[in-house]
Amino acid sequence: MHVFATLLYLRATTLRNKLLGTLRRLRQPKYLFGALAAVAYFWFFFFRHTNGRGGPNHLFAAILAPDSIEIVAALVLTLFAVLIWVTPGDNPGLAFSEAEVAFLFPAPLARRQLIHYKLIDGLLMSLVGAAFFTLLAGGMNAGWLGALRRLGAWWSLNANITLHQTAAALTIARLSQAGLTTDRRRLVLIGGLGLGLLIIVILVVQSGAAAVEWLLWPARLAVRPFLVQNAGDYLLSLCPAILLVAVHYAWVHRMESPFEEASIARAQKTGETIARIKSGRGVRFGGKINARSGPFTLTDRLPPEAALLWKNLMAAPAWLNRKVFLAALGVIILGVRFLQGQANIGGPKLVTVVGFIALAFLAYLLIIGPQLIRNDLRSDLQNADLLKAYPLPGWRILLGSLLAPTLILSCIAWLLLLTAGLGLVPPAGKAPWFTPGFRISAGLSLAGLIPFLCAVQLLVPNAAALLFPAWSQNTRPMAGGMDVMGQRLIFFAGQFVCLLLALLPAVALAGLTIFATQWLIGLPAAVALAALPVLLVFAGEVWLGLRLLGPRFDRLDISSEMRA
Amino acid sequence: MIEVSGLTKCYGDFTAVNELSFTVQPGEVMGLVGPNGAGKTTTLRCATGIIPPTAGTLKVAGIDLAADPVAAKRQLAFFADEPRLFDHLTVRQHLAFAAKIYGVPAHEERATALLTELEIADKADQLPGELSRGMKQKLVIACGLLHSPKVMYFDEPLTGLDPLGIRRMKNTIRRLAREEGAAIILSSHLLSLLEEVCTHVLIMKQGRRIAVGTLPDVVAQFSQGEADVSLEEVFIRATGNSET
Repeated sequence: MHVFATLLYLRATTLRNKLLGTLRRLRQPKYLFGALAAVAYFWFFFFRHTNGRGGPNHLFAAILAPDSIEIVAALVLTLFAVLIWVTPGDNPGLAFSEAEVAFLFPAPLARRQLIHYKLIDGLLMSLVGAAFFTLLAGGMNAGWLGALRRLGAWWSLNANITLHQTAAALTIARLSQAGLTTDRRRLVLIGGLGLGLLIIVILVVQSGAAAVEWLLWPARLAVRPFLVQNAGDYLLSLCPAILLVAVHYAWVHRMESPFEEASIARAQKTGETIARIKSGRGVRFGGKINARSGPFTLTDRLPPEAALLWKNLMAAPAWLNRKVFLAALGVIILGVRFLQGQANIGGPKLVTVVGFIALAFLAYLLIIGPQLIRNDLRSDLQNADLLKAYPLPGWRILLGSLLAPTLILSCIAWLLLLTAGLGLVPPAGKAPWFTPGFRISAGLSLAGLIPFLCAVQLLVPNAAALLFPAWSQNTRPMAGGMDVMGQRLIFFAGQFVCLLLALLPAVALAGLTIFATQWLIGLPAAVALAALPVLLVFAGEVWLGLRLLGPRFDRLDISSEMRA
Repeated sequence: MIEVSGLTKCYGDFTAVNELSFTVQPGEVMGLVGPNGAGKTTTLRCATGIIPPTAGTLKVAGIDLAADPVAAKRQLAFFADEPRLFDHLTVRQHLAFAAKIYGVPAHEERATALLTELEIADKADQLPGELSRGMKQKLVIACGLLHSPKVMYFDEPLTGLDPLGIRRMKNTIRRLAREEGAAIILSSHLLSLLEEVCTHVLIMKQGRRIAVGTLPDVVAQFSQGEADVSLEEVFIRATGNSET
């Protein structure tokens, strides 16, 4: 009770202070607009249709019978559980924050009480996760009662998965302590799985498919609350799922395995990650940074912008390098040639499907890419004073900052374009205008335009970071909430609108050029010719953007912006 | 009183602390020194019950940490080198939280007195994000002192403090030992601090004890008959020119 009261105090006070902090922030118009945008988004997508129509699982129900859905879902869950045991990673089982480690570990609490604390905390957090998934999965479409049912189902599923992960990590820690190595554990598990499969085969042969249902029984208990239709059946199905939660809870609690050292290590790692985000360096995957050679030689003849390109390329993940690009190029060319040689077994050719997927990814990359590749001014905003001390005008700093993400995005886009260009070959007799000549002309023209389009796209978030530095993800302290989420929505919408505005004059000019010249020089040549004015428009937009934002960078006082 | 006997802590094949034994009596301040990787922080973590030792016994105020960890921990306070705080709890709420964990009844009066003594009473309703590092350190100390511990462990207590803060911290440590009779272990690389504050010193290297005793005794052990040998010189001689 003592631990439970402490946890409740911590969570309730934290929640209250977070809410108060959010409300205080709403006094600033930028946060207020953000909050309004988020509320509108939630209302539009999740709460608008609380009319009680639409039932659970309508998508799967159209494909599978309810019993089959239960078996498939249970099978997936069972496989996930097996994966937890085979590849537990560095999961400490019970993940405490650094502050919790500092306050609770030396406190007069028994190990069991600490386990209780974390387990109850996990169950509360599962409830938050369940609410999120209920909204995301359209739970509100089934009305408030339906949403409540979904919430219960999601909570029991989340809680079972979380507790199972904890139990697995602590059991593995205890086995390791007893001298069982990782390789041996995997061997035992794989042997056990093999034996399990053998038993399944024997049971299926002797008793039919019903035997499999029994083997998946615990997982079926966890997924069943999603699948029943009426309230009575729901309650009957929820009770065993909750009982399973209780069994998991008792398992972890009885285990009383040493978790302290792994928890401290995880807390430190998490603390470092949070410190990185707070200092604007972003999340780093794949452990510590290793020293590596530069992407190219910085000679005296290169302009200063090349130094910024060189620096920002070094900040990109190590696998984004020339060798990987060339290897990917080879794989695409050979892969597409291999797929082109495959027999056509009904429906579209596989190579065409691959081409379409590449095209879709290309479009996705051009829209989302600038938000993903951020090694430009956005990640350097904390170092703005240092950048401003360089003997360069603002526009040149900005230009240098844009080069690295432009190059990275362009390289990825070129690979996708190549895949699409090689894969999208119309069947004989269809789309006669899509000739090899046209494909080459359009492909090369697009390839030439891509860097300029990427630069235009990258200008938008960099301009936002310069104009509203306090909104920027890399300068903002770790603050979540509806207002911050709304700000991101506004940013994304702004990015999309800017893309449309940037494309409008370019597309209009291209259309006019093609319309006016294709009768004289043919479509492939007209497309190539149309690329020229488009290129000029994009280059002009980049130049205009740099010249407008440069003085803004020169005047930027990041410390006063942060205080405001 | 702190009694450590045969403390050993292993991480796989690596032995971080090896057969370490010492005692700290009430009113004594023991300085724990050693080169980087000597096992100082591991010793402190084991002695506070944060991590379990591989072997050995640890007693806090006469209570065996392994046999009754809850009762033993009730007597101690640990002040880590970095102030780790909850982002969304105010200064006052941190104290309320600590009071709940340690079961301190009617803590408000003592909390206010501690905040006043540590000169952060005017920050009582602020969040950690609004505090300087020194103030955070003071808050951690206030939380640790709330339950009037008999045993205290300080890991690099002066990190991030300004000159005035350093002086106050030194006075606080001395006062806790002299007036309240606390047994204190202080781990630091600042040998001048140890010379000023500590009554005893324990020198460690590669997890082992090199020397232990009162400050004059340890100095005498390594002074080779010279007069006015500093602790820094003693440290260098004891650890064989190791990096501090």
